[in-house]
Amino acid sequence: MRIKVENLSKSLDGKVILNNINLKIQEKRATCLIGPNGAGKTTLLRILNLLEKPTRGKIYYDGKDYDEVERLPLQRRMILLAQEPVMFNTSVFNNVAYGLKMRKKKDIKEKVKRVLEMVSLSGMEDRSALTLSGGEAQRVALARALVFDPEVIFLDEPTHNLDPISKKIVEDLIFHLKSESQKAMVLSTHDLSFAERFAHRVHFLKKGKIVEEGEARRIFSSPSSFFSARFMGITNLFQGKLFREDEATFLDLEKLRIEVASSNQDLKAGKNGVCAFLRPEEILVSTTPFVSSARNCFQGKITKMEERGGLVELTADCGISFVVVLTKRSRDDLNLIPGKKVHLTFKASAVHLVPDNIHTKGGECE
Amino acid sequence: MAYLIESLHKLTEFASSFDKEVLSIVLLSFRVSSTAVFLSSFVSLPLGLLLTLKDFPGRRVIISIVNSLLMVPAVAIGLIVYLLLSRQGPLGAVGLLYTSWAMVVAQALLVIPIITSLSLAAFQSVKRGVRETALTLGANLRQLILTMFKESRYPLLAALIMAFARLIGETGMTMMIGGNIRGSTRVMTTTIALETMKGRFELAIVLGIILLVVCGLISIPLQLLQGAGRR
Amino acid sequence: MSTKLQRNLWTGLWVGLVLALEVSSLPFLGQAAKRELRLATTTSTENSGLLDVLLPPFEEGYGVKVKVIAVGTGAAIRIAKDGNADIILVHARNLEDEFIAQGYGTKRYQVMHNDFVIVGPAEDVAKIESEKDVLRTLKTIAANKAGFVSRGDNSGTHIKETSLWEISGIKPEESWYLQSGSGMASTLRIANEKRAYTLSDRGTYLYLQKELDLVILCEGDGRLFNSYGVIPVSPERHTWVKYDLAMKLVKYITGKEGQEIIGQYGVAEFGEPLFIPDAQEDH
Repeated sequence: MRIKVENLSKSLDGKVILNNINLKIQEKRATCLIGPNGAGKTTLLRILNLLEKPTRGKIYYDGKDYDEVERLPLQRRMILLAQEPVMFNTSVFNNVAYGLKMRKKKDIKEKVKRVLEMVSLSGMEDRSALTLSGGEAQRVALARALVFDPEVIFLDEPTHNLDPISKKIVEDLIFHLKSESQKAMVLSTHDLSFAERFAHRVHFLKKGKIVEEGEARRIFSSPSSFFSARFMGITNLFQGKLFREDEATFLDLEKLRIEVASSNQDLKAGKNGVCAFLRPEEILVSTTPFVSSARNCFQGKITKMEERGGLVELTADCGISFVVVLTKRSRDDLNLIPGKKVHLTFKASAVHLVPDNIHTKGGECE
Repeated sequence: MAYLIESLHKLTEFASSFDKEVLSIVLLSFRVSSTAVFLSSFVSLPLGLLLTLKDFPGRRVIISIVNSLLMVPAVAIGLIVYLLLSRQGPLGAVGLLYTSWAMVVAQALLVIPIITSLSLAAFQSVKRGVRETALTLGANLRQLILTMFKESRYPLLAALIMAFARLIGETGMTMMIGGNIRGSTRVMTTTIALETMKGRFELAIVLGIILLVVCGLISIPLQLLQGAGRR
Repeated sequence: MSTKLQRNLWTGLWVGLVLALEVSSLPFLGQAAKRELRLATTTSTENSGLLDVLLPPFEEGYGVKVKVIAVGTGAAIRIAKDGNADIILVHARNLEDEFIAQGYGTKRYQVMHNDFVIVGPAEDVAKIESEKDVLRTLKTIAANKAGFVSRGDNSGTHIKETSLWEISGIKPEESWYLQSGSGMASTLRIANEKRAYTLSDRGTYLYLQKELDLVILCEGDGRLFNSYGVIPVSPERHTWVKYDLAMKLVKYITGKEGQEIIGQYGVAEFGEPLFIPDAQEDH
C-alpha cells in the first residue's frame, strides 16, 4: 500500500478544513475525491503532497511516517498537478525538464521529447511557457509531472476549465496511465461521469469529512447518503414516513404511496420520516398499463422531455413528479410527447432508502 | 542664457578633446554607485528572499523596520557614517573618511532598504505558484532559491537599476563623506553643486547634461524590465 | 526587434557596462597605496585656484597625492582637531593660535597674505567711493542702510568681518544685513544680484571680477590684512598623522620654489598677484 492516512485533521484560524480523514491509496489504483467546493479536497491533496502539514493525524508512505522521514526523497516520489498550473518564465522545454534537472537525471532531451508527445505538444520545446493557452499549460504541467516517473500522481481537478481538445487529451492520458502504469493516482474532480468511468475507489468529501466511500461502481449506483445522491444529480428524491400494511412496507408520500423493500430496522427508524430515492433508469415507461411483478405502477402525464446525448430525460407527473431516463429509440417507438398519458412502473427494491435518515433535520432531507 | 550657449560649446569641445577631469568625474560616479549597488545586493537580495520564503517570529517586525529605514534621509546616513569613520569615531582607525570607498559604504547603506523592499516585492509576486511548483517538482533548498531568483529576474534587475539611479543623483551625503576632493572624491553630483556655488556654471551644466543623459538611458531598460511581468 | 530581445540587449549592455567599470576600477584600488597627505583648508583658498598651481610640483616631486579638503575655516580646524587631516592651511590667526595652544598643532608657519576688500555695486548707493578706512566704510554702509551680504558661515572671512563690525561698534540690522551661509564666490554673486556690499578676499574677487558688476570701494586698511599660516597636526595628539610628509609640504610651501609660485599666481591673468608670499626663513 502506498499511502495510508490515519485520523487526519486540519484546522486553520479556528476553521475546520479536514475532519478525521482515514483512507488508503494503493499502487496501480485510481482513487477519486469528489465533493462540492470547499469540501477540503484540494487541502487533502496538498497535505498528501507535503505542501501543507496536518493539524492532527498521521500519514504513512510505504509504511514510513511522513513526520519521520526526510522530506526531499519522499517529495521526489510524488507529484501534485495543481488546478491552475504555474509555468516558469522560460521555455516549455525548461519547464518540462525541471523535475529531471532537480534530480540530476540524464537523457533529458529524449525524455522531454517523449513526454511532450504523450500530451500532443511535440515540437513546442522552444515556446515561451507564458504564452501558452490554459489547455496547453495544463498539458505541459502534466508532461512536467510525468517526465520523472513519479510513483504517486495527485491531480486537482485536472480537466477543470479546459478546452475540449485539451480535455480529451488529458483524460485519455490519465486513463492510459491508469491502465499502463503502476502509478497510484489520486484525482479530485467535479465531473461525476468522469469519476464514474475512471475511479476504482471513490471518497466523497463534504465539509472536511468523508461522508461516503467505497468502490466506484457501488457508490454511483446506490449511494448511501442523501447528500451524495443529490450531489450526484440523482433525481427522484423523496421523503416521507414508512408504515407497514399487509406485510408490505410503504413510503407515504401523501399524494401517493410507494411500496418499498425494507427491513424491520428501517421500518422502526423510518416511522418518523425517511429519505428515499429512485434512479431514473430503473423506471419503466409504457403507454398502456403494464402488468408485471413490479409492485409500483402509477399513471401520469408527461410534463417535460429533454434530450441528453443519446438519451431522453422525461418527467411525468403522477401526483408527484418522477424523472425517467430512456433511449431516444424507445421514445420514438412509443411516440412519447409532452402531455401524453403514460404509465410508470418500478420495483419495490428499486427504491433506495437512505440509511442516514437521521439527517432529516427539521423534516428536511439534506 | 549665455551660460547655456557656452556650455553647449564646452560640451562639444569636451566631446572632441575628451577632457580628462570630466571623464574621471563621470567614471567615479559610475564606479561608486555601481559598487554600492553591487555590495548592497549581497545583503538586500538574500534578505528579501528570506523574508519571502520563511515565516519566522519577528518577520513582520523586520519588514516594518526595512520600510521605516526607507524613510531615513540620506544626510542622516551621511552624518552617522561620518561620525563612525572619523578618526574620533569607532571605525576611525581604518582611515576611510574622505575616500571613495567611504562614499561606497554610505551609498550602500542608503540603498540597502530600497533594494530589500523592492526585491521583497519582486519575490512576493512570484512566490506562491513558483515556490510550490518548484517544491512539488522536487527542488531542494538551493535549487528553490535559484529558481526564485530566475523567476524574479526582471523585477530584480529593475530594482537594482532603480537603486543605481537613486545613487547616481545623490549629492549631499556623498559630499559629506567624500569631502568633494579634487581628483579623488568628486562625482558628477558633488561637482555640479560645487561648481554652481563657485559660480562656474559651464562645467556644472556640462556635467548636468551628462547626468541627465545617463538617467534617460537608464530609464529605457528600466521600463522594459518593469513591463516584463508574469502573465 | 521583439520586446524580449530589446529588454535583454539593454540589460546586457548595462550589466556589461557596470561590470567593465568594476573591473577597470580595480587598478584604482592599487593607487590608494600611493602616499597621501590630507590638507584641510578654506573654500576661499581652494576657490582662488592657487592650490591647483602650487601643489602639483610638490606632488610630482615627492610622489605624493595631496588631498585637499576645502571647507569653512571652523570646519577645517575641526577636521584637523579630529585627526581627519594631516595639515591645515587657514587664515584666522586667533583660531590658529588656539589650535596650537590646545596641542593639536605643532607650529605655525607663515606662508603668505592677501587682503580683504570691501566691494560694492558700481552705482555705489552709499557713496563710499574710494576709501581707505574700513571702519568708516562700515559706518557709512550702516548709516545708509545699504545692503550688505555676509558669508555667515564661520569662515575666516566671516570671522574677519564680524570682528570689524565689533570694532566699529555697529550691530548690523536685519533690514539691510544678509547672511548667505555660503562660500565667497556664492556670496559675491548674491551681492551682485542684490546690488549690495560685501567683504571679500581679493583673490576670489579678482577671479570672478569679469562676471560681476561690483567694484572695490575700500582697500589698503591694515585691519583688512589676511594672513595665511600652515600648521601640521601634532603626531603626539594623533599618532596616525603623516607628520614627516606634512613637514615636507611645509618646507616646500615656505621654501623658494613654493614662494615663487605663490608670488607669480594671478599676475598673468589679473596683472597682480593674488597673494603676497611672506614666509619666514627661520626653521
